[in-house]
This record gives sequence, structure tokens and C-alpha cells, in this order.
Amino acid sequence: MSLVGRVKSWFRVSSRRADFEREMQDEMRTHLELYQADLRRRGLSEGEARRRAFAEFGSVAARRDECRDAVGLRLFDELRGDVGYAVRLLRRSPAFTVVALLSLGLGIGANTAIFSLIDTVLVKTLPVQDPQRLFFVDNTGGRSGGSNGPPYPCFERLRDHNRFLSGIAAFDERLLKVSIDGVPEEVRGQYVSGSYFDLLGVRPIHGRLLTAADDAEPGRGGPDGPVAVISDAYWTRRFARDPSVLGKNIQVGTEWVTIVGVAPRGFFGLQVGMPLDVTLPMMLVKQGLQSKQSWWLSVVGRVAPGATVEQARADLEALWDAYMTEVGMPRGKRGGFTGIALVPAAKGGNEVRRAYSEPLLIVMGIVGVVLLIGCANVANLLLARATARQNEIAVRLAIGASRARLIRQLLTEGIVLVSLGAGVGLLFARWATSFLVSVLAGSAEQVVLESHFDLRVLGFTAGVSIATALLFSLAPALRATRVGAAKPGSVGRSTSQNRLGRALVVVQVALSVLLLCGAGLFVRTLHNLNAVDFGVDHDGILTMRVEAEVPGRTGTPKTPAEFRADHARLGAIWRGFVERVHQVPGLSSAAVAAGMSPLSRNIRGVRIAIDGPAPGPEKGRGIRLAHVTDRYFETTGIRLLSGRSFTDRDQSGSLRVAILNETAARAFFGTESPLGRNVNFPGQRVEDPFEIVGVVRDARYQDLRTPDEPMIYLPVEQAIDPITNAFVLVRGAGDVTRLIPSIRASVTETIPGGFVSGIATIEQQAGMLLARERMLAFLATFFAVLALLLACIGLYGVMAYRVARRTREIGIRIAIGARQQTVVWMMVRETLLLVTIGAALGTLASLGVNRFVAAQLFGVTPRDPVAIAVALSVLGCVTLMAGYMPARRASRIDPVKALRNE
Amino acid sequence: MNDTTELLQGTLDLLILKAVSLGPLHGYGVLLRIEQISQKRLLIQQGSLYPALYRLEHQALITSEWGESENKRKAKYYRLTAAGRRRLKEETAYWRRFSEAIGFALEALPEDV
Repeated sequence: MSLVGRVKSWFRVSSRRADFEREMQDEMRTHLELYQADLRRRGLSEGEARRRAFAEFGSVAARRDECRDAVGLRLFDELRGDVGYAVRLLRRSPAFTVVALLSLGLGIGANTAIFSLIDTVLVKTLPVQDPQRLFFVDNTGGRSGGSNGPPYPCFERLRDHNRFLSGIAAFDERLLKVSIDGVPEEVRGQYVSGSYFDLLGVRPIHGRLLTAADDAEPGRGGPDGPVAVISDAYWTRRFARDPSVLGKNIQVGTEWVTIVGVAPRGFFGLQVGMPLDVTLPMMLVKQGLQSKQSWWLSVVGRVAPGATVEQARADLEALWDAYMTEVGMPRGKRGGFTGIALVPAAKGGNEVRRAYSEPLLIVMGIVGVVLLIGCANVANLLLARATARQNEIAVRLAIGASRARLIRQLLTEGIVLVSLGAGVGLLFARWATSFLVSVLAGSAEQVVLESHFDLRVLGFTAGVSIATALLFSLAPALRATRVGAAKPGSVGRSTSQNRLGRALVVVQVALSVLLLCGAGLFVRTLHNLNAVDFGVDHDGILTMRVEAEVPGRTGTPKTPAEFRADHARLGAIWRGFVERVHQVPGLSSAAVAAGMSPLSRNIRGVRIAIDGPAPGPEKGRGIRLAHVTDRYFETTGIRLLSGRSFTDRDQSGSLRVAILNETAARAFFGTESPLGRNVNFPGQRVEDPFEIVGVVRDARYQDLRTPDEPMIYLPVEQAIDPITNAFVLVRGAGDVTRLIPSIRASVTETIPGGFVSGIATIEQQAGMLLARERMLAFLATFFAVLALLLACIGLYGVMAYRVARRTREIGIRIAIGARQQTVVWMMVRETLLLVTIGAALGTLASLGVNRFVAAQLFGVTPRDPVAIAVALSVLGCVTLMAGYMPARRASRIDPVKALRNE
Repeated sequence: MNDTTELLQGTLDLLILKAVSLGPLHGYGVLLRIEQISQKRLLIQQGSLYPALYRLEHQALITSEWGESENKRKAKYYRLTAAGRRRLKEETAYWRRFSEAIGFALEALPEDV
């Protein structure tokens, strides 16, 4: 008679329910017939026998019920009955149903959508082997932006001499120009050291992955020549999963590479949320492998079993320390670099996570609050309904229904409601998830979030729903059945119901205030960021990225003179291009910027040395570098503050000149004029001095929040870098996008293998940079309004209920001469009281809670009085309206009808 | 019918187990068998039989299968399971102790106290 046995028996019976019923009927009929036959044999007449048999057997239906009960089917039947009843009740009051389902559906749906994003961005670990022991090897303190690994020669040293890692790999993600069958396109890819896939323990789904042998020889790769691995997504998108893709030759830049394998689905390298379509060996990188002071790599290592993370870190730092000293950056001259840190890599790189984890958690908090308000609403509705059903419940208790049975029924009703709400929520979540992903994807970086409903998301939704169901159906159920059977026909006690209902409304109002204040802060942040003067004109500037196919150089240049000539040759190509673009009609000026371009987030940093005494606080420090053509400042609208701008006379052979931004001038020269002073760039291929000829205003190159940094501009012909790709900026009147075809034509004409990508106006770029802020402001406002709406529905419901309750009293008041205004005031006063308490609590809460979002704000403090004032006045207006409607109805009560009512 | 006795609560299950332990029976047969072995002294409510049978089957003390009755009718025959046999033994022992105790108690005389 074990529990398992009973469940098995119950399952056996209920799974073939029809058979069970038929057999039970047959069995009882047989019994009755046999008994009748016996009775007749004893001499009774046929009719008499029949009568007696049935009389002694009793009601066949009742017996069958008892039998069902005996095998545990009765609970099931009752449940079915309750569910049916609940559905009928819902159908009978559509307004109630719609409000309840929307309250729940929006709450559950929003929570599910946000959770699935959070799951992808914050919770999931990478699909690699033993991710918990993977760590990024980062330089700390460097102003390196983006990638944080050491220079490549340092990586080699770490790779060959470390003692506590079981593996280490370097990688660098970048945009690549890939041509397949002559059709070029831009894809996101990476260069990796040969150990990369082994380190991660990733297996190919087709062909093979890269090995150390593929990464042996600079410029060539390995025994199979230059090879590449593509992603499953790219294989699908570009090759329709054709197995013969292995051995296919494609062009990356100018390089021909052979596809040797496909990485598994769901593997996107070490950054979460970014596509990664082509992986190439590090040895195919054109620049930077030999550069001893160039920070561009990311490095990831696996801490060996038995070693501690700190052991590994200290070991790597010692190697790094020796390296830095050797390359002429001894302690104290490291431009801010302080050491090596091991950053957990189990969940992948932190770019997307860093950018979105806090906004996502904030939104999660917001939708959690919305769900709470929705639940309070539904609880209030159910409470009101349970009170309205007190008669029914009292009668049922009186005729013998047990309290447990009634609570079960009310709970069932709650669960039915929540299940339907969860269904609505899932539909909404599907839509909301794709909406959120598209919002995220609209940001500057291309973001692919593999967001789908997996079991965890479903589990989360189920958990939320069940908690919701228990939360809001248990309290009303307990309360409603406590009335007792003593007073059927009486209305029962209403005060406690009212107290709970009003408390719920106060909570709703308080939570709404919280959300409204938050929304105000985010909207003001967005507004402030939109108003940031980023030093570049907003309107009429078009930018695009152009990549040149540099004809393969015969032999790498060795001497500074050869480098200089090489750079000048490339610079001349860009200058020629700009001259050609200037002939395009309808265009007022054009320029090229290499290394950095406004709001592009591209970063190039070098060390700078100043000849002679430099009074400024910063000496021998890093500086941002951009190579530009002569009309750059005119095109972007960056104002010249002193000295001169670049001209077409600043050629490769002429005096080498440079322009500082005002932050650099202040940082290095203090109040003195930097004009006429010489600077150079130690550690670069070309170490000639440049004379500073001008100072320009600061401009934002990364995003709108990052404070201005010291920056230096050089003419493209005097470049210290070989410029193979650059941003083109074009200024024109009216709609600049109409210039695109002519500019494309100029690219084709003047730049060998010129390839255009990333076309956008400065305004669009600024917009993309604010995607996150816009998302937060939009979602915060949307959900705050939703919360307010739900709170108003709650308030309206409670007040309407109060009016209904007091109909008789109000009738008497009117009958003995109360004026309409008096009655309205009497009811509005109650609303006012509830709203005031709620608003006060909400304001206090937001003063306490909003400091957690401080990092997301810009130009406002978390206790911004404007946001709070706006929130409170919006709340006041809307809630008073919700409270006024029932009050007005109360004042119109006809005393005669009211008194006859009861 | 004057010498028939109403069943004590809980004893129907025991009687059913005993009845089917003597051989497979259909529902009506159980009724007749109990009457027979109790020498018609026990009266069984016809209606209460089936819930008891279903309960016992649910507890896996008896099991059933369809067969043919003596007069060629389809009927559901119950038989005892191993668990039922164990239960019958326990209950029988318990009942003996119980009725003995009641018997002693009721036969007590003033001088025994």
C-alpha cells in the first residue's frame, strides 16, 4: 500500500478512464441482475425483486462516486469541476478577466523576456571545456581601451615561460573584408594563436580547427599555407552548409586563405553576444606582431590543475615585469601600466556584459516591480470578488462544504487565472525578447544574442507564475472562507477586506512613484547626453570606413627612411582620394581620418615625448593619435583655437607638423603655448620630431560620456603608421546621404581594392552610441506608465467598491441634505489619503533605491528634485482622476433607490 | 432475519479478504460467500461492498480480472494478492486478540475485580 503503488493504481485508472467507468457500470449491473435472479428464485415477483434489489443496493450513482473516491479519482474530478467553474466565472466577467490577464501577462512576459536576456548575457558560461579555469590575462592600469592583453612579443614570452598555466592563447577580434567568389563583404572575425582551439577544447563539426602548426610562420601560416576556420552561422549563411566548403579559397583582405573547418554551433569566441564568422592564425596579421610596445591583443590562459590563480598571476606578472623593463619601460615609466590581472573568462569577454549587465539588472528590477503591482491588482480584484461571493461561500459552508474544499476551489481559480496569464505572458515575452534584442542590436556594436526559450527560462516563468498564484489567491481565499457559516445572507465584515485592499493600493502607488522617479532620471540622462557638445557638428556630416588593398610589399621595410617612404606612399593614396572626392558636386568639404574618427570608438594610442622643459603635470605619457587630411577640422567643425590648421603644403618632404587638442595642450604645457615646440613618439618606427603648429578644441571620439583625453593630430603624408584603412568624412548641405554613390565611385577610382563599410551620419553614430541609454529611458518610462496604469486600476477598483459598500450611508446623507460637493469630497479625501501615504513612501523608497542606478546617470543626481517633482505631479493628477470617477458616481446616488437597495 | 448482526466499522475489509482468500469471486459472489461463511449471521449493506472492493484493489490487496460467471455472464473476479494474504493474516490475528480481550472484559464478575 505504498504511495508509489497508489499513484500507479491511480494513474492506471485515470489513464483509461472510459474503460474504468464502463467496467464499473457493467459490474454493478451484473450484481443487480444476479441478485434479482436470486430473489425471484426465492419466490418474489419480477417487479418486487427488482424493487428490492435496487432499494438494498442504494443509489447506483452514489455508489459509483464512492468507488471513484476509493481509487482517488474524486479529487481529480473535483479539480476538473473547479477548473470548469473558474473558466465559466472568468468568461462571465470579461472586464475583470481582461484586466487581470493583462496585469499578469505583462508582468510575467516582461520578466521572462528580461530573464532570457540576462541568462544569455550574465549567467551562461561559454560552450568550452572547463570554462571555470579560463582567465583573461590583462594588463592593469593601461589606457589601452578595448583589448587588454600584453604586446605580442610579451605574449610569446608568457606562453613559453609560464609555470602555472596548462595553456595560453592570444586572439584579436576585428572586422575583416572577406571576398568569396569575388564578392566582398565585411564580417567580424578574429586572429588567434595556434593554441586557441586546443586551449578552449572546442571540437570542429566539420573538417578541422586551427593548430599550432598553422600558426608557425609569419605571413604564411603553416604547412597547409594560410588557412581559416569559419563559424557554423557563416557556413549556413554563406555556403548553405555545403560540405564541400573544405578546401575552398576565400580572400581576407588581399590574402588568399583556405577554409579547413567549421567551428561548432553556438561558439562565438570569447565575447558574448557578438558574431564571429572567420578565424585566422595570428601569423597572418600584417602589423604588430613584432611591435614591442603595441597593445592590441587579448590573451586568455587556463590555470593548471593544482595551481592557484594567484600563483599563476604572480608568475605571469614577473615575466611581464622583466619584459617591460627590457623594452625600455622600467618601473615608473610605464604609462600607467601597473601589472597583470587574471580576469575570469568563464562567461566570456566582458564587453557586452560590462555595457549591458547593469542596465539589464535595472530593467529586471523594474519589471519585477511591475509584476508586483500587477499581482497586487489581481489580489485586489480577487479580494473584491471573494467578498462579493461571501453569500455563496457562506451558503456552501452552511450546507456542509469543508473550508479546505472551498480554499481548494478558490486556489484553483487563482491558478487557472495565472496559467492563462502566463500564457499571455509567454506570447508577450516572445515579442518582447525579439524587441529587446533588436534594441540591443541597434547599438554601436553588432550584437547577436542567442536568446531562446530554454528550460531555465521556462522554469523561471513557471516559478514566477506559481509564486504569483500563491501570493494572490491564498490571502483572499483564506479571508473569504473565514466568514464562517454563521451568517449566510449577511454581507460579512467588510472593514478588514477594505484595510487589506487599501494597503495594497498604497503599496501600488508607492511602487509607481519609485518607477516614475527612475524613469524621470533616465529620461533626463538621455536628454543630457543628447545635449552633450561633442566638439563635432551634429548635422550634415557623413562618415564611412574605407579599406584599401595595399599591394604586397616586396620585403618588409627596415630603416626609418624606408618606413617613411612607405607611409608617405600610402598617405598619398588617401590625399589623392580626398582630392577626387572634392570634385563631387554638392559637397562642401571632405577629409580622411585614420586611427580615430569622431564617435567611431576606434582608438589609437602612442607614447609621446616632449623636447625641452614641459611645465604640464603629465610628462612622457600616452596620447591619442589620429592621422587626418588638411580639411579635417573644417569638415568636422572642430574649431581651431590657436596656431594654424593643416594645409596642402604639409607634405611628406616638408616640415613635420602636429596639432594638439586643448586637453593635451593643457596636460603637457600647462598655461604655456605649445606652438613651435617639438614632440616625438618613442618606440615607433619613425621617431622624427614633429613641430606643434596649432591647438584645436576637444572632440569626443569614443562615446559621449568618456571625458576628453589628450590627443594629437598628424597629416596623413607624414604618418607614423601605414594607413591601410581610414574613415572618410564628408560635409554637405541638405541630405548628405545622396552623396554616397559619388563617394563610392571615387573610392573605386582612386583606392586600390577600396572597400566601403559602416556608412552613417554623425547624428546616426551619436544615436547608436546612446542605444543603451535610449533603451533604459524607453523601458523605464514604458513600465512606469504601465505601473501607474495598473495602480490606477487598483485604486479605481477599491474606491468603486467603497462607494458600492457605502451606497446606503451616502443615500442617507444626501437624503438629509448633504451637497454633491460634500459627498465628492468625502470620497476624494479617502483617495487623497491613500495616494499621499503611497507617494510619501514611494519618494522615500526612491531616495534610498535610486542611488543604485547612479552609474547609469549623466548630468543628474539620483535624488534629482525635478524627476521627483514630475513623478509626483503626474502621479497626483492621474490617481486623483481614478479616484474622482467613483466619487462623482457616489454624489449622483439617488437616495430613494439607495435606501430601498438593502 | 432477527439473528443477523450489523457489521462493526472496519470489519468489512477483513471479511472481503477472507472471502476471496477461499477462491476467486465476483462482487455478488463475495456477498454470498460472506453470508455463507458467517452462517447468515452477518448482514452486509449491498451498496457498501463495491467501494470497499475498489479501495482494496487500489491498495493492491486484491486484484481483479474479467471472466465468465456460472450462468454465462461476464463478471469481474477478485482474487487475493500476496500483500492481501499478509494483510489477512495480520488482521485475523489482531481480530482474535481483540475479541478475546472484549470477551474477557465482558465476562468479568464483581468478585474478579
